[in-house]
Amino acid sequence: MPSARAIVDRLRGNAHGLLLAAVLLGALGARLYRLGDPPGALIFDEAYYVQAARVIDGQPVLFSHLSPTSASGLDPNEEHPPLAKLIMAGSIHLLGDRGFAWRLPSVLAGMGILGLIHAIARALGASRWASLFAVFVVSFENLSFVHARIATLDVYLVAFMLLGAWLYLIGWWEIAAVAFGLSTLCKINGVSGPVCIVLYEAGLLAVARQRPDRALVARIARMLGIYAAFTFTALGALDGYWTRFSSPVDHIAHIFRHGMALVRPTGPQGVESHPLDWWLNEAPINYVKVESRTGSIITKKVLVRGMMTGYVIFAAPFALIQSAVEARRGDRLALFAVCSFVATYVPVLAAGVLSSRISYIYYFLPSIPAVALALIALGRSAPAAVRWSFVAAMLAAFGLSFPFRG
Amino acid sequence: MVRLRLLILILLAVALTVVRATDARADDAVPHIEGHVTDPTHKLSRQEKRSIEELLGSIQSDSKIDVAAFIADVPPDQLEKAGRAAFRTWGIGRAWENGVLIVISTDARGVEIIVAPERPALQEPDIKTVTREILPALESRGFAAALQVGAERIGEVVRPRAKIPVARPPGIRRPSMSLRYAVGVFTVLVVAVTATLLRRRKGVPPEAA
Repeated sequence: MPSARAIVDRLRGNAHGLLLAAVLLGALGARLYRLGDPPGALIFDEAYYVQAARVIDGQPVLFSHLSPTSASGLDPNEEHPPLAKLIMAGSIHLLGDRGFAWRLPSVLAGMGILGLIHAIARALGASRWASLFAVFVVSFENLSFVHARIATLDVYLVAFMLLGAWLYLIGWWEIAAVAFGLSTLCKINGVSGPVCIVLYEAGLLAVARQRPDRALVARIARMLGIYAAFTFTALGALDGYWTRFSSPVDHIAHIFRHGMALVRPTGPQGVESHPLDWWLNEAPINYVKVESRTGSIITKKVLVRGMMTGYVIFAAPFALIQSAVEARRGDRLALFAVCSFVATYVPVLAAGVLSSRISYIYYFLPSIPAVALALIALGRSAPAAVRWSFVAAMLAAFGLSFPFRG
Repeated sequence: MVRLRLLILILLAVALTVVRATDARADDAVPHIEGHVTDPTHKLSRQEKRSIEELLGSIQSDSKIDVAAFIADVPPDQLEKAGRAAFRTWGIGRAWENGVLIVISTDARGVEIIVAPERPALQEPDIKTVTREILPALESRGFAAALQVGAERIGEVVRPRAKIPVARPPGIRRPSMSLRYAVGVFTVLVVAVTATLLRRRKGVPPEAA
């Protein structure tokens, strides 16, 4: 019979594992809770992607958010590569045309993101507790949470991008290129993955004041070569069977033409926003809002909002500056956080500033893992009381913004 | 014999040219589209036209079916041809789920309902019903009333259908193209996996980590 002291010691020894399991279970529970709600409704851009998945699977559809030329078996949403929609279509095929079916793969991808955040932080030398902190931030940050339970493309993009980053960091460079390719096959922004790696390697060299050696150049060239070859051939394979494009070149050209046409020189309208607005968490989007009325009393039944958790986005600039400072001192985690932020956010900002490209607040989603890693750097330099207060504030904010509070 | 063949060829060529010229004339006769209602001979007053525009617009909005009307300055026996030319030229339904064109002759004696032949928005019995209801209205109450009756009947048919999910027409897949690129994917994957495994077997440390 072990003594109470022994049990306490044992629990203390396993505290990290237990807490990690608790965070992951909490995140999974929150993501699965009423996953099919509101029944029959499409949340935000699901109107495009679920409709596309239904058409790909040959399901009967109402004519809404579809092009008149859309045909059963083919992806009607040609402005994005088809992989994420094929995953949704596969889930609909297996589980039926219902909310749970088209959102379940997002939950799995979202949980994958959490595991990968932990793995990346560990691979970059973060302690187990610091890694757990980053997992906690992404678990309960509103935008990450919402997108991990709705059927849009971004969660797939981020999951495969982080998979590529992790594989690269543990030395599986060529397989990492394939993961980056899968990310790009979900959404063209997946190209940020290899860009992040190139920036990271350049940053390591700059910090060490070294010039790139032949081995490094060969490694990067091999990764980029495999990335380009895999993305091109896999897009061709998907295009032949699931799109009307007769070549991946045509499809990529169409994606860029479509993307470049989305400009608003007069400034954002409606739910659109400028990338600079996101730092103030402005221009949130009500993805879905269900209210019930009793006389003059209106009760919110469901409110899914596309916006970051205030504590995270308001701490982000300070965390990134702290990371930049630590990166200069040679901290690899901080350097990676800065590089992945630059790779995911700066292109969106540049497009907004230079060409008035239309943006939405959820374009910040791929940058959230970078912010979570940067928050590790900020947290390390903060007293424990501040860190715990941050955790408590995050949980309170999560509770307050939980979509099903009515 | 050679001369006879040559003569037949010339005759065929002339016949073809005449047929094409006739077709082209029919297409040339299509006026510019004016909205949901095209009325080049001004059989409708401005108010009547606006009211029918609104009605057809609301049907389109509810049903995603592009419903248009055309008062064509042709005799009733050429109405179908003129209607088909207009349907094709104007691209009725091209930007929507489907399309229907009500064509009425300017002498108020003929009515045709034109739908896309490959995927008709209205079936033959519906077309007959709509036509049967338009004709008496046209004779007794004029163009505006006839178009209103026709539009309302078409709305009654297509509006409920818009709430019923329907599978899209099947698309054309190219498995041979997929297979060609899949060979490329397989090759890249083999290269990627082999390169990683060989490197790790040699014990080269992952520099990045």
